[in-house]
Amino acid sequence: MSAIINDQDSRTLGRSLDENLALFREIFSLDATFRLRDVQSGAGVRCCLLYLDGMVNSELVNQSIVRPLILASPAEGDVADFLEHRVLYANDVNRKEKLTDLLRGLLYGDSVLLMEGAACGLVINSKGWRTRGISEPDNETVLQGPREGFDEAAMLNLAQLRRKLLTPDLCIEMLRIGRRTDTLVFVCYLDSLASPHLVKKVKERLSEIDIDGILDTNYLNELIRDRKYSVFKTCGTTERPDVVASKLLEGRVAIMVDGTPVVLTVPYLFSENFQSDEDYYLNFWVSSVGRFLRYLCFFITVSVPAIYLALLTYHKRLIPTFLLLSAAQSRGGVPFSSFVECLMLILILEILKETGARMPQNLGHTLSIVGGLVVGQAAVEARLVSAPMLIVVAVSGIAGLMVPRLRAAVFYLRLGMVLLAVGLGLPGCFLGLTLILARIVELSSFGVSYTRSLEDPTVQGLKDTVVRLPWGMMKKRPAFNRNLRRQRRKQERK
Amino acid sequence: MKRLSPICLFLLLPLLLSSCRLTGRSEPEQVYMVSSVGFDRAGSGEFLLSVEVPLTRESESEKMETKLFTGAGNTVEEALRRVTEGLAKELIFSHCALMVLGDGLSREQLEAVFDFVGTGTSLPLAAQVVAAPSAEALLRGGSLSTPAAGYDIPGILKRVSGILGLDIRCKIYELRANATPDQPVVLPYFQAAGEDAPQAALFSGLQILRAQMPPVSLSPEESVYYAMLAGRYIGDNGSPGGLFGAELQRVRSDLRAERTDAGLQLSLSLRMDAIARITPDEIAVLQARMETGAQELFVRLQEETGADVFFFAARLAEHQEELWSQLEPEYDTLVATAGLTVTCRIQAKESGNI
Repeated sequence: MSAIINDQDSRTLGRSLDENLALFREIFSLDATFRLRDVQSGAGVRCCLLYLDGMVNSELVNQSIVRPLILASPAEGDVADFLEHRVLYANDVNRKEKLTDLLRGLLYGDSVLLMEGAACGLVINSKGWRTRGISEPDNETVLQGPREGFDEAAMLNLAQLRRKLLTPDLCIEMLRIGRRTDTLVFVCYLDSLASPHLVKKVKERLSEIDIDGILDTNYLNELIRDRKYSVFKTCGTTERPDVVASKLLEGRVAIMVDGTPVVLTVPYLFSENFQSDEDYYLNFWVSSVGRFLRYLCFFITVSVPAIYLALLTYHKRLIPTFLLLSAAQSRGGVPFSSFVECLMLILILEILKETGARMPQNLGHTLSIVGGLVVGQAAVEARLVSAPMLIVVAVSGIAGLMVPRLRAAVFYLRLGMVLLAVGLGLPGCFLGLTLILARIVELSSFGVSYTRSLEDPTVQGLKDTVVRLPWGMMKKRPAFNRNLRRQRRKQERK
Repeated sequence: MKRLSPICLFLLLPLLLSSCRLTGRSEPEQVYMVSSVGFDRAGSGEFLLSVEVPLTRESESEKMETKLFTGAGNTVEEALRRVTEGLAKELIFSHCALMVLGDGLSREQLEAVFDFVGTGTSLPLAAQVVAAPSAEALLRGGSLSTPAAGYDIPGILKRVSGILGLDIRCKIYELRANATPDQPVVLPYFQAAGEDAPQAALFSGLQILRAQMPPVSLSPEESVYYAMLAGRYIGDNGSPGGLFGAELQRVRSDLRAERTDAGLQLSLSLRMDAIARITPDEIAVLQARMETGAQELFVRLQEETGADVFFFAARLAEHQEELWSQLEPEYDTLVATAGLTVTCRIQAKESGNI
């Protein structure tokens, strides 16, 4: 028996219940959770209820399926039709003939009722698998605003999204991706706002995926993005329903995967890396300062170690005299060159960050403090590194924490800048910044220029980039959306 | 292009990691940072180059020491080579704050020094130039607070010029911009302080260097009169106590020339404001003192030099073009016998009467 659910498989059930049961027993011969419940229904027909233990709600199965079957009156007419419409108490019952459809239902937590003499089965909604429940995402906490987050059940996530967008305009299209996992993937968009071209492109790329299994949205992310090897994100990710709703209101498309709380949003622009979830929930003055600081911190984290290295080794005349003396004095006795020192500290910083993230919280905090303070202090006193370089790299690391969405990019860019600085000095730094800028400008996300939001020099164009203007001034939706409905608010009466 | 990019990166990476010395890369502890440089003329006619460098300390509590390296040569370049050949580290001049010229250097030799400064050493053009009896002796005095005497002397100069109200333009780029080989160069004159003195160096006035003539030294008081005559008196910058016990600010300085039968007659009119409380009697005394002092200095320098060391020519060319065109061919002769009348008017901003 093939382990893959294949839509091309056109096998259907026969009228013999025993033959059908034999088929299912063969399919699930090595599955210890497969259950069969023979029921002699009051309708006068022998039935058998199939389900996977742990996937169904036992109480619901007993009360809504087994009990009504036993207490049913004799069947009138087609038995399957009789049971579906007049006996079973479930809110969702579907009649399926194809084996593939019955297996899908069974594997997703529904119960399948087979009847003697009926060449079909009834797929009854009885899902009862446990979920984590709604909680605030750890990586997207806010000081003010909603604190709901998605969990692993896509249906519940869609319900949360539906609560944010009470409009029939919300479209939710379902796909199944993964030859072995048959994972449910939902493409969500607002029909009147999203570009049809964008939606079509998203569905095309998803349909082209041929993979064993999809366990997380990142699988899709890496398979459908424009530039597969770029360090910059071109698909947004979030675990918050309010963020997804706001993205859909801007004309974006959301991709939700069953089994993971992370949702993809496309297209994703460069300026979104510097947005915080609570930018729109705090006063615009506060938000604007945060935005500006994030842009500044990106520059600092990428270029400061390189610039310092270049000045120290090639361009000493540009350093103030007392700073140069201090640097020379602090480097006295350090056995490594400035370049090696810088690389070591960058590496140690990344190790500390990873350790702090992976360790249990109580240990992680301790290790971070020990690693940061004790090791740093001891290294300076032992003359393994110099204090100015330690400070420079630490400042760069802290600045990098301000832009968590660029975490991966920042590491590689910082490393590249340091290599250019040590080889070419300040010209190398400028070359590096130019290359970074060229790369950013060159990128696109689902046909939209990566820097689209920064290309319009008008107030409306830049209203939600380096600063966040008040809602009263945010009249139009982002310009990347070619849909003509850009007006976000009605014109106020004069 | 897609294949070319990784190939280029592959070729570039070894170059970046090779730390090739040809690129001039060096660690800060591998160089000596020159804080001040001095030029003297040795008895045998050679150039004596003195280079002062601060040494790094083992701990913050230690005083920062300086070290003086000297070398002699027939040319400045040769003297520098003699200095560097015995050192373990490279000398960098990019942070040099002070250049000291010894008395033995003439105006012509100063050009040789400037030529050396402009080529290869990267000595900052904002470094200040001062004169001293012996550059080596001045630099050997070291410093009590800041890393090197190079940082004390510009500080002293700034304070003194503020107290005396002098507009001393002695940075390298100022001297290069304003002084032609036949024009005098005016430099502050410092002497090494004694062992018991709290400061590293003493300001002793100004020194005027002229082509093919020995230098002329002025005392601090004479320096103020000189500044008034040369149009470089700017008045007190707010420091307490002026040279004359009152805070004088120059309001206006007018120079007029007149061709007479006797020759060239110059008249300098000074209008100044007194900031401190001052009585009319004190004003009269001050005016007389300044007129007399300036007059006497003019006569002395005229006798010693016989040249225009007050930059009158530039002011005449600017304000009396027609007369200057007539005077210019024989100006050198006329200025040697020119007469000068100094008129000083001081206006009190605050009356001394209560």
